[in-house]
Formats: sequence, C-alpha cells, structure tokens
Amino acid sequence: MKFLKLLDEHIEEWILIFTYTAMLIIASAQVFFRYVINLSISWSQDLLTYMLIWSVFIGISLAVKKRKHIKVELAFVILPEKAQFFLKIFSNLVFMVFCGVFSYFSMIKVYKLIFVNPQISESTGLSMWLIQIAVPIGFILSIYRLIVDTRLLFKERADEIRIGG
Amino acid sequence: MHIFLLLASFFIFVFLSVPIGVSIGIALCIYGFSGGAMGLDYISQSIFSSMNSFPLIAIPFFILAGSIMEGGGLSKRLINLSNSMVGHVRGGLGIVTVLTCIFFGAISGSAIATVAAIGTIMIPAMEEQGYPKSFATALTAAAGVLGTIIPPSIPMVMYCVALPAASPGNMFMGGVGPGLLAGGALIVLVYYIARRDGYMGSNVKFSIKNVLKNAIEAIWALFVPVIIIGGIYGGIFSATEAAVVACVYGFIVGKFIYRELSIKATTTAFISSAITVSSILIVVATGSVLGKILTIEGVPKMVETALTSMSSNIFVLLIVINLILLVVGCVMETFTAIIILSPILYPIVAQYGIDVYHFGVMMILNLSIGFITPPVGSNLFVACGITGMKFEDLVKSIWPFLLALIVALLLVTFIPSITLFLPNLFGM
Repeated sequence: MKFLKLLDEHIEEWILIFTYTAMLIIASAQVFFRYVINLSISWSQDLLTYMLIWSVFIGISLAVKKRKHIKVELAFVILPEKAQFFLKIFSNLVFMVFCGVFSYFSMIKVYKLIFVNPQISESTGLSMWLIQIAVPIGFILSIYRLIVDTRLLFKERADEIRIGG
Repeated sequence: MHIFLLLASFFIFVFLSVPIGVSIGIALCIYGFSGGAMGLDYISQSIFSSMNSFPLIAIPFFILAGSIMEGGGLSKRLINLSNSMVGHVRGGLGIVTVLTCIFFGAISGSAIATVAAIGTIMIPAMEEQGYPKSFATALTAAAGVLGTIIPPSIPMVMYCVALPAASPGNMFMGGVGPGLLAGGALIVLVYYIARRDGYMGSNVKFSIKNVLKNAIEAIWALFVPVIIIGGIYGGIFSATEAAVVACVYGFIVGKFIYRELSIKATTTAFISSAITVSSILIVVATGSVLGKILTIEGVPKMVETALTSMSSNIFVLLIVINLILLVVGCVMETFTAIIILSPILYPIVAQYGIDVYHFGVMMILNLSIGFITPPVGSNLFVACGITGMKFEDLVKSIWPFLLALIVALLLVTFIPSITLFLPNLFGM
C-alpha cells in the first residue's frame, strides 16, 4: 500500500528524472565522441528523439497534476469566483475528452504496429510501437490526474464556501 | 466551411481558459469528426509525428540549461556585476535590472524564466530604494522580454522548426543587435523617468576595481554566451550540441565551483524543465497539425491575396504585418503564433526580398512584446505573482515600456542591418 501511494505521488517524476538524465548523458556522449574521439554514433539522434517523445507525454500528465499547462487566463481576471470554478471543471472535462480521443486512435496505431504492420527503427533497432505507446500511456495517466484534480477542485470549492460563511 | 468551424472552436475553447494545446486538439477533433479534409486517425498520427523531429531536441536542453543555472547561483552574481557597473547612475537599480536581464537573456532562452530569476531579487531591492512598486514591477516584466531576443532563444528555435530554411545559429546571431537595441531603449526610458521623478542611484561607489572584482566572480556565468554563440559560430557545435554543452557546463559550475547546486536542486531543475517542455511541446505538436490543415485548406493563399490587395509596397506590408502580429501577440500565446503564422507570412514577404532572419527576428521581437500586453501577457502575470500587485494596476504602468519596445521594433523592421550586421560579418 505504501509503495502504491509513493507510486501515485511520484511516478511521473521518476520517469522524467530517468529520461532527462539519460538524454543528457547520451547527448553529452554524442558530443564527446564526435569531438574528442572523432567517432560519430549513428543511433543517438533517433534515441534522443524517442526519449523526448516519452518525456513529453509523461510530462503532460505531470503538468496536469501541478496545474502548469499554458492557458489564456483572461477569463480568470474578469469572471467572479463561482464562474471560474465552473470553467476549471469544464476545462478538465474537455482535457479528458482530448486525451480519450487521441489515446483511442494511438492505441489502434500501436495495435497495428505490433500485429499488422510491424516497423523497426533502423538506426536503433527498436520496434516503433515502443515509442508510439508513449502517447496512450501519457494520456491515460493524464485522465487519471484530471479525475483526481477535478475531485480536488470540488473539495477546494467546498472549503472556500465553508470559510466564506 | 470546416475551416471556420476549426478556427471558431479553437478561439472559443482558448477563451474559456482550456489549455491552448488541448483547445487546438479538440478543435482538430471537431474538424476531423465533421468530415474535414483530414481524418481523425491521420490527425492523431500527425500530432505524434510532428514530435518525432530532431531539431526539437534543442528546446529541452536550452530550458534545462536555464533552470540548472538558476539553481546554481548565477543570477545573483550577474546582478552584483551590473550593480557595480551602473548602480551609481541616476535610476541605477532600474538600469541594473535591464542590464542583468541582458546578461541573463544570454544564458536563458525564455522571457518568463528571466522575469522570475531577476524579478525576485531586483523588485524588492528597487522598492527598498524608494522606487514605486508599480514602476519596479512593470520595468522587470518589460526587461524580461529581452530573454527571448538575446540568444539563445526558445522562440527562435521554434521559428527554425517551422521554417526549415532558417538555421538556429544565424537566428541567434541576428538577435544580438535587436536585443541590445531594445535593452538600450529601456535603459534610456528608465534614465528619463528616474531624472523626472528623482529616483537616486544605489549607494555603491563606481570603481574599475570593483567592476573587475565582480566580473571575475561572475566570469563563469559570462562564459556561457561565449560557449553557445562562439561554439555555434566557430562551426564547433550545432545549436542542439551547444545547448547540451551549456547544461553540462552549468552543472559543473553550479556544483563544483559555486557549490550551490545540490542533488535535490538538480532533480528539481530536471522536473520543472520537463513540465515546461511538455506544456510547450503539446502546443507545438497540435499547432503544427493545425498549420498543416490551414495549408491544405488554402488559407495561406487567402492571407496573401488579402495582404497584397491592400498594397504592393513592402514598407506598407511590413507595417500591416507588424500590426497584425501585435494584435495576435495580445490574444495568442507566442509559440502557437510562431508555429502557425511563420510558414504563412514568410513566403509573402520573401517575394519582396525580405531576409528570412530579418523577418524572423522582427516577428519574434513583435510577438515577445505580447508578453507584456494585456490580456494574456505572461510576463505581467509572473511579475504580479512576485510582488502581489493587482493585474489591472500593473497594466496601467506598463505603457511607457510598451512604447519604448515598439520604437525598437520599428527600427528593427525598417533597418535590416540591425539584425543582419552580425550574421553578415561572420559570413553567413
């Protein structure tokens, strides 16, 4: 149970620290090999791009959790608090639909890449579904974070009303 | 028909404060679902493949380099250096703020990061010296704009992703002149206001010895632009490699020389950069698909006809484009605007012989001014967050700074050599 709780709190952070450290090491190695040993590694560019894709989709979920997605905050400046609350809930619902639609279509793509038309990245030898699957995983994780965040919004709202009298 | 549905739903969702990347994504869903020229499965795949692009790799590394150096004690030393150089002048601390933003802009590629890093130290310092809070906050928000003009710059990398004909190295070099010009305009304005309202200089006495002492303290920070710009221009690194080297360098300096970067601070830097990168790239990925659809639907042609029917004079065209971009910068977020608009607008002006770098720097300076215009100026929000000032009050005091930057923009628009001088000098 304790492990599950830790996982719930930090899963994205662990993955991101791992991918960013690995990206930094691979990229530094690439520079080092090229200029010091004069040997260019062919697989590093593609591998870096794949790790970036993974980190971006996992990071989308973390950005939901930390409420850091880029939005136009005009409505928050002009609307009363109650309307702002409804907008936040609405925004989370739209986000869930977005994640749902695109994880559905990328899951179909993953299925095709495994069973129908397998592709392998030439330079790295990795199966392409290993990269494509980052999309549904990131988005499903985001849906989970959005549900938790929506519940939190309702709780914050209830607290506000209680304190506000 | 479908295209109007697409654009209308995009703007509605954005103004209902749905995250921008999600607003574009949902608008794309509506477009695909209602039978537009691109099906939903194809849209979904395009979002993925627009992220599968190597030039994007430069973005996480530049952002990471910036946050590693923030955690490593570099901004404090840059402020000390600027203070020893110009602190004694009238309005000294205001000028110090602008100068530090110029230095910091050469390390960081983001306007928001610049406001946050410099503002948290300089705004309280200015208030202590008797500057009004509104002036200090507005000045810092405006000076933060320099972060994206002075290389390295995330929006410039983005421009080169959108227009593969442009190379980040040349864009960076092109940004130096306009960045210094915009900084100079702000410094002149601060000096004028300080004389008029009687703000004093700081009590630091000017001495060459003191400047040198602080320069040596800050030497490791000052070396970053040398590595990035020198490395790219000496033909040693690509822009991406320069970003990687800057990360490793920032880590070594913060960890082993200034000894202010703990393991905890490093992981925090990783996580906060990862969040920033994801929140930007979701906008870039969906935005580039939106751009593709606009092209399929013939929008660039329509824009071209509309613009050239107004006038065939390039000066008039540039003024019109600048006006459009200023409005766009007020209501739209910079990255979205660059990804969608540069492939539409550049081919139009290219027919009149406008250089790709001149246009790019002009566009980015213009859109960066959008960081300090209401209603969506992100620098204003960050600066308000630092001082707890009300957004409406800050908006009232931002006008003079806005005007100074617009003057700089006009000069950059009509004197191409401000941008092209350095790239030409280096034979690019």
